[in-house]
Amino acid sequence: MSTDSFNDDLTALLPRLWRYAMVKCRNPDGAGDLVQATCERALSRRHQFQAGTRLDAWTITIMQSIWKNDLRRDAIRRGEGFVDVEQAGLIDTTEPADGKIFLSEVLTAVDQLPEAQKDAVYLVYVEGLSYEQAAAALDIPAGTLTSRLVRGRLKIAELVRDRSDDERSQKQT
Amino acid sequence: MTIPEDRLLAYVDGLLSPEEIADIERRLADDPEASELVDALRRSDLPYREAAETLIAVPDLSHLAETIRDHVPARRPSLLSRYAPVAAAIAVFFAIGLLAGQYVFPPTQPEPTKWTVWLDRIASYQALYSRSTLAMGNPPPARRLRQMERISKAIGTPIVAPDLSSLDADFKYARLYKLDGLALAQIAYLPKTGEPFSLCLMKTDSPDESPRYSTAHGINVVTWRHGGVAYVYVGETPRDVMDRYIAAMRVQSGARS
Repeated sequence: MSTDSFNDDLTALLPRLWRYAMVKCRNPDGAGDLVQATCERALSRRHQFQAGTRLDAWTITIMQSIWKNDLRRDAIRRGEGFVDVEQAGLIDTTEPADGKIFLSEVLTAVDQLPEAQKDAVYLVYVEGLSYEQAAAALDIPAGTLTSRLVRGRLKIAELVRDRSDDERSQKQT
Repeated sequence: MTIPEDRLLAYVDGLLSPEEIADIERRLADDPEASELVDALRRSDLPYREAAETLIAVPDLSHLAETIRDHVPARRPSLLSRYAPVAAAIAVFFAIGLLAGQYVFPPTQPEPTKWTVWLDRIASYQALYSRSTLAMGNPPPARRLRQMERISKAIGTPIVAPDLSSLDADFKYARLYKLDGLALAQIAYLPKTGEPFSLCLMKTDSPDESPRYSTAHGINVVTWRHGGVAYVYVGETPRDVMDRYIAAMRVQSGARS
């Protein structure tokens, strides 16, 4: 892969990297730092990228490593690890909420998962990584990844059902 | 349940061949537990990508895009280098003290091994937790008991979480980490004041040993062995306070009277 092609492809990934960074950092400043650090490291290690493999999976692996080793501690110490998705400004509130309520519930349900399950669900179902690619990005065995996916999906199913039950009971009253 | 969870997940996620799908569906007819799991997984088949792309706003990143297109920036220093020596100290202790012959830690070339990577996570976890992170309510006794039973079973000897409440430090949780079938337990405490600390435990065949103190970048790492269990205290705790914690831990584990 040529330098131009690599750089262009990395540039095209920026919105996706930003969203995942926001999910992890919960604030724009932290997400900006994480995206920038990820891009810097990707550029400095571009010679390690194997042409023909997925650049998104490779870059997310780098982001995961930086988050785990460098930035997560600082974010948690700032109290940014466990806040409500809407309070955290994760959701874009500049658009009318109509029609986004369900999507907001989906994202909120994902956000309520423990971090390990949230990472697994996000990488597979938002980023579209295969089980194997997501496991590699998270540095865990494939079996652990699928276990986290199942646990996460069950929790989400429970949350979605709880919300439906709440809505039904509100309508009845 | 006769069908593995990962197969059911792959089935719901549409990753199986027609033949595999037919096989799963045939078996589901006789497996209500698996059918229930499939139903739950289908309820969580939701528009995750659409939700993220619609709701997480992306700011103007053109400045970063230009930087990427134009040049290769220099690498930035790691923000966590402070904790690397702690992980290394623990890793050396376990790799040499416990696992000689099974996992060899190169004495002159400390390349990362599974152990160092794994133990680095433990040390990193300790570094991650601030007072606010652990400032949830104390777990009910039943949960504490369940956690310790699980750990005792994994380590192969009865383990009781030291009660440090008389020293104003509360038990918060006990967790189990595994790699290649070997278990390491982490018991986390939150003192009334100061930083959280952990006691890590692991089965060992090595003889008993008195506490050995080391310090790396302000983090105390104290190791000792007793009764077939290796202990590691990790925390940013003043020496006099830490000595009281360790003395209580050792008395309660029978290492000293």
